[in-house]
Amino acid sequence: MIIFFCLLGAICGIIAGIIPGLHSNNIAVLLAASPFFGMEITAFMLSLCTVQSFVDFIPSTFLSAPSENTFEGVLPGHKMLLEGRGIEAICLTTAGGIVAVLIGSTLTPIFFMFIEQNSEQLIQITPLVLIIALFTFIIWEKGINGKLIALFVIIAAGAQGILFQNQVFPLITGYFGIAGTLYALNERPSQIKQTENAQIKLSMLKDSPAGIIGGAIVAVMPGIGSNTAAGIINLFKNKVTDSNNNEKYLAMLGAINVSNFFFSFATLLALSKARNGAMLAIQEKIMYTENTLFYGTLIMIISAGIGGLSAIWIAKKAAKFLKNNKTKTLSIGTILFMILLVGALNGVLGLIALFFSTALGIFVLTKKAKRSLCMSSLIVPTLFFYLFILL
Amino acid sequence: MDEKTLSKICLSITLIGIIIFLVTYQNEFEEKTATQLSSEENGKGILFGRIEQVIQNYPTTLFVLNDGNESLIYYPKKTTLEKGQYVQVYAEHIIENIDSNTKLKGKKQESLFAQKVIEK
Repeated sequence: MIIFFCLLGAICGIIAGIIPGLHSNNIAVLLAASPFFGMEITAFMLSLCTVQSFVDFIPSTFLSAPSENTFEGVLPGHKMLLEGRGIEAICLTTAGGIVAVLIGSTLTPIFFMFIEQNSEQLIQITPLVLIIALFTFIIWEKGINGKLIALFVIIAAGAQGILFQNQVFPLITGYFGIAGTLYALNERPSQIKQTENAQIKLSMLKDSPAGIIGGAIVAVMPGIGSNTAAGIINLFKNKVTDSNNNEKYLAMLGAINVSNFFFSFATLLALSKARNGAMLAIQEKIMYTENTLFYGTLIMIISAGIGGLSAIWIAKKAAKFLKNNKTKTLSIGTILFMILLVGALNGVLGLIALFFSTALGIFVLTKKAKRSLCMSSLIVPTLFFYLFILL
Repeated sequence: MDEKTLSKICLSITLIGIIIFLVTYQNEFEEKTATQLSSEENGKGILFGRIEQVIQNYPTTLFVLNDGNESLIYYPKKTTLEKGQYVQVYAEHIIENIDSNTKLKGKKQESLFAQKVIEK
């Protein structure tokens, strides 16, 4: 029965992953209202999230329509797509995810014990880490102009985050979904021939273990998303090793995305605190027994395999589909779909938030600034919340 | 490594995971009586019975369940449970100090710890 729920979750994860704008959080809302609970619902949700974290990269790469976890992958993924290496880009995020599964699953019990014993200290250092994240955004932008633009985006996105509370979905869709797709429309040729075989060198996966650290940061620190963590790690690695390239970056992003769920689950069990919508949905449904962490981790390992297989298979189909179809029409369709989804889920206020966040997203892209800056819309309100609690 | 090798690795991970899960998974909660559960150290079970008394509903819930014998059940959440209701309880046998917020604070009580209470 548990395996059945795991497979059901995997199917929903694939659907949620390939439809731009549809997130596991949307399904989590429905799940929270369902009468199911215990290991069955835990298996369903963990499987959904894990599979989605692999498949999510397909719309980001092939349509430039990212989710909140994959937006930084759009530009490197898009670049590889234009070179006819779209399938390789997906294989890289998949391989990074698999590395994260193999290492992350063994680290989960250690992480669980660490979190359980240091929960108080973690709350105290949270504002400090958030401030460091914001400063890092500014410091690493090149030139005075770049730093001023970064500062402006932080203030603007932070203000939008405070003004449009509870409108996370429209904000994220605007910054990273519609802005990215609109921007890519001008650059994208109408038909892109894709290489059907991908070759991944092991050296391309060198940064994936660093991605696991990023996943742990995302799982513990509120307001910091996969891409923010990737941006910080990547910028740091840039300075130290000068080894930045698209392939390594995509593999690292894949690793962060997948390990985030391993560590978020451990955080939920250790602190009873949900760090994302999916964990929030199972928080009230889960049985907190000594075996839950072990079985949950096993479910995520099984789902990671399914997610990887699905992502590679769908990427091949998507490449063939794009070869025979006009991608611009598809991109416009995606934009309309995202607007409709925001309207349906968030109403008029959501559409207003979407308009302003899209404008800021396009500004960031045209100024060639880091897209992670837009995550300030989550970081700044969270920072104020924690400062309010502690002071 | 090409995409076919990567697919094979993914498939192996899935199959190995399923095998380990099927070999190790044990349903932790089976239907039991409160008396059976109380006799097992760290035992877990699903109880069914009638609420005889609700000691408190907030901030945590403490009630007496009758499934043939009366047992004290501690549920670490607020509820709207009432006397006379029939409930299904996913419970663990844990001996511990009852939460300091309860009316029985400070007393070392032997209670069954509820993971989930479903009103029937």
